[in-house]
Amino acid sequence: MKKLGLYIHIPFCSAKCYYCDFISFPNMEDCFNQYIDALISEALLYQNYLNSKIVDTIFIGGGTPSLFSPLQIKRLLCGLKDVCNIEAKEITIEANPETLNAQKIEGFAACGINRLSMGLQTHDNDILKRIGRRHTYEMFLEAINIAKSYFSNISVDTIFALPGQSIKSFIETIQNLIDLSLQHISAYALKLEPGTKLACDFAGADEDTDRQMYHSAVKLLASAGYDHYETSNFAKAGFECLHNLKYWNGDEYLGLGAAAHSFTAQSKKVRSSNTEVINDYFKLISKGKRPAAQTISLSSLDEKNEYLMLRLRLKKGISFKDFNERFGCDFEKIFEEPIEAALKAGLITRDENGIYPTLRGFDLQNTCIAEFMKKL
Amino acid sequence: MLSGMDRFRNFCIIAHIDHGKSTLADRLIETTHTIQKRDMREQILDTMELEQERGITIKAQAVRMFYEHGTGEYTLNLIDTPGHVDFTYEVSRSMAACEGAILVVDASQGIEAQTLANVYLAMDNDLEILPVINKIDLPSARPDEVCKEIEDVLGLDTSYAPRISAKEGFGIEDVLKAVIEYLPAPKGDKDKPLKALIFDSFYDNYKGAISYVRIKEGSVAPGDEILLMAAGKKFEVTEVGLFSPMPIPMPSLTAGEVGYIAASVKNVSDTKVGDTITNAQNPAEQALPGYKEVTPMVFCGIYTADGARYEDLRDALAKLELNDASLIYEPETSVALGFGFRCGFLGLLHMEIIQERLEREFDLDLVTTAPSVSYHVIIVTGETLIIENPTSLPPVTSIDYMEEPMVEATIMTPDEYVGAVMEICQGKRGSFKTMEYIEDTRVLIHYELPLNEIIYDFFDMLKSKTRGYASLDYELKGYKKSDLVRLDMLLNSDMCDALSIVVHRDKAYARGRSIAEKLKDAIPRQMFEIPIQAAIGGKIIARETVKAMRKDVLSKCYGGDITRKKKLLEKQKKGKKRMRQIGSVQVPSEAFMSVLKMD
Repeated sequence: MKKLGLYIHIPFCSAKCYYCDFISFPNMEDCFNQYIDALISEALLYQNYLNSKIVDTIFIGGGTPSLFSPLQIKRLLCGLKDVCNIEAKEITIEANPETLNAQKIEGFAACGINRLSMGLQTHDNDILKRIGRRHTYEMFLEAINIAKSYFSNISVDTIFALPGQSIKSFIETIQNLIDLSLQHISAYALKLEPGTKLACDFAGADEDTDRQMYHSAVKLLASAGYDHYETSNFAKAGFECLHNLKYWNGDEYLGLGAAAHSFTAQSKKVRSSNTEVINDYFKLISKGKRPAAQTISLSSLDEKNEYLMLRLRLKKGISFKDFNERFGCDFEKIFEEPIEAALKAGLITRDENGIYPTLRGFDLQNTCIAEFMKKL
Repeated sequence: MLSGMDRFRNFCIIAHIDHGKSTLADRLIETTHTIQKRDMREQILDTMELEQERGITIKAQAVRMFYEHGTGEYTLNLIDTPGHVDFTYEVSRSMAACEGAILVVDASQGIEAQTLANVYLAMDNDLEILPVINKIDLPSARPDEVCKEIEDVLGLDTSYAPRISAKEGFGIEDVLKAVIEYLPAPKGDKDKPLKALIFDSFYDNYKGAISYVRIKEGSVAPGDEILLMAAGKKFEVTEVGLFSPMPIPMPSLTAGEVGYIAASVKNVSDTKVGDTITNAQNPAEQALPGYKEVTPMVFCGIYTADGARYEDLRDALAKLELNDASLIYEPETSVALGFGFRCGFLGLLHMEIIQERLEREFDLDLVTTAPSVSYHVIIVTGETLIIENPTSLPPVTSIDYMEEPMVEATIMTPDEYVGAVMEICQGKRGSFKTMEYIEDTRVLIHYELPLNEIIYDFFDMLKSKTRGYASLDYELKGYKKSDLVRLDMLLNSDMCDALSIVVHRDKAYARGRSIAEKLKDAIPRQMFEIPIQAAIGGKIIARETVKAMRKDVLSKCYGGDITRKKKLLEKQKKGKKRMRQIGSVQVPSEAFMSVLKMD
């Protein structure tokens, strides 16, 4: 049977961070239980599809899923087990430090969660305050130290190019995480989203500082034994996020919940996304309707474009054989020019099997992808 | 009892910009009930959108008004003329169509450079001048001082000058009465052979090129065969008429009148401003004096930002040319910009107007090259070449010497800025001629300056260094030998022809540096480092570097980001439409314009 990743979107937060433009709703504790029921009902709407799949990864993301109690998470996972064939190697929950305590961490682990993804962003308490986070570095440390006795796979998210953040400060954040012997670290460049509070009072760091932070982190993490397997992701051997790899490898995933996205391949490949309006989501589910707001069938050109775009995010790059088998054409022939140009510009390396982005290739990823896409 | 011509007054209004010329014209039209109130709007004679918006007059217009005074009704023909130095020749022909001029002077500003230039022009055309002191409602108005200034500087009697506020509609009847009392009636024999002066023309899709005329002698009626004396072409008159201000057909026009003649003329270039229309069967012996072929003073290359719209640009220029005989253009190609046109203009304002009309009325995005003047290049064989495009300059080795056009500039300024003005002029290779005080605190400075410097940033500099107080007028004064060089710009070692300019050798270093700096800011970072160099011949005189791009990546791309990101990349793939490829470098269209901007 084919493998499937299951993504569960929890669109609730206690408050919005200043840089965030995701869909999330504060003060909705009263409807958490109703939402869990809806998620399970939604899964039932895909019963036939799910019957033909084995769910091998589950990712509970948000929002702030750790606002849910272990009991609620347990009810969710049990409910899903009745609908799906779950043989999960990896079940991740995203968590914010201020929502965690010993009892919660233990509870999450007890209901089958085996990967914890924590949002830290920076160890500098002043910056945390400035970007609207509701925890301190000390609260994070307390949570992580408890979590380490229950989880052998912990990931922490960081952001660089933040307001008031020096290169030194960011490196210290990364070093602190390395010292905690975490399995997985993500480092995202801050992207100022229009309309967010931060975009209004911060002009953004300059490109040079941004890249110096990135390059320093890449170097530091490499020397500490972390594999830079995706543009912004670093993992100890065997701890790459299996669920996220599905996105980049073009594997199938079903998203449940308001604003969740899916990529399914039956007769054709389809990307769809659920309604972002929470009340519409509840209404549609209660009427027994799939809550998809947008469904796009991919053309073969779309597929190729996505392949280039996603594979060039990965260190393993593009395998000629894989591309040629998938699309029935000759990668090296079609892309002869951009390959040469990208080699010359130092964006990729190549061997007889494929091409691989360099660090500079990660820096200028969009430019590089666009040059390849021009040939399609 | 007065009769016929004695009851006519033909006059124009002259003023410095913003002294209230168009407002006064509006009030005159209103007060004489020429246009019904409900049809009235501001700047009624400026019909072009651009004129309305900028508050300037670009094309001449005429309007006939009636006014009762004393013993009867008078016919007043007002000819509204452009005021800018670019259109001096057109203005002089409009003036030649009149016997008098109203000189509007702002009661707080006093005389300005353009006031002077226009008054001298009016005097050259033997016009009687009626001073009118406007804006007396302003708290800063000083009408007595301004009157004294007019008397001292211009030698005009201001004892009967109406003091008015055109804006408030105060004193307008006084102006009308003064026009009748102080401006002379036209003279001319209606039985002599026809002599009609063309003072403007416009193109009508149905009637062909229509001439705005003042009948000096004789008369003209539909059916007459006319001869355009300078053009040497004959046409049959299909319609004659007056302006009210809309054209209204009449059975005939006779000496003393202002009106229009339509004769199925295909091209406005046949109805040249200043030409004399006479009767082909009974021609005048001599044409009216003052006719001149207008020659463009300023040139630039005009291209479309989107190269694919070349044909649209060609059609647009052809349409503008129909109505503007002073616009000339011919196709040219640039390595950098592709197909376009080298266009010639009367001056900077004319250039700006044409560019703006092309963009607005024809919805074109333009890229224009730096304005240039017409140089005389004397090559070693003794032959003289006329070069309007820096890239057509022959190799240095074959040039004996070069000449550039000079102007005599008149600058009026409060005396506290004399130092600043002189500094600018010296910096622009000017040579000082004379200076005179026109009142205790205001000075008139005369300089000889290369036109090449004036078309760069002279006017902007003058305005900024004198806090807007100085005013400028200039007149072409022939050619002078000069040590000129061509300055080229190289992007990543490839020369960009569209950026080449001709400059004086002493200025080359500074200009080269400044252009390189501006290009550095205007060219976005690319995958590789881009050296920008300024060169004379093979010698590099300035260099800047656009650093290589550091970052172009979206750091997050998970399940929900894929569709959006794909769209973004597809857009990036198509590239920015307004980019030009110079060798290996992508140059945004704006970069070509940015080098024209002042420091």
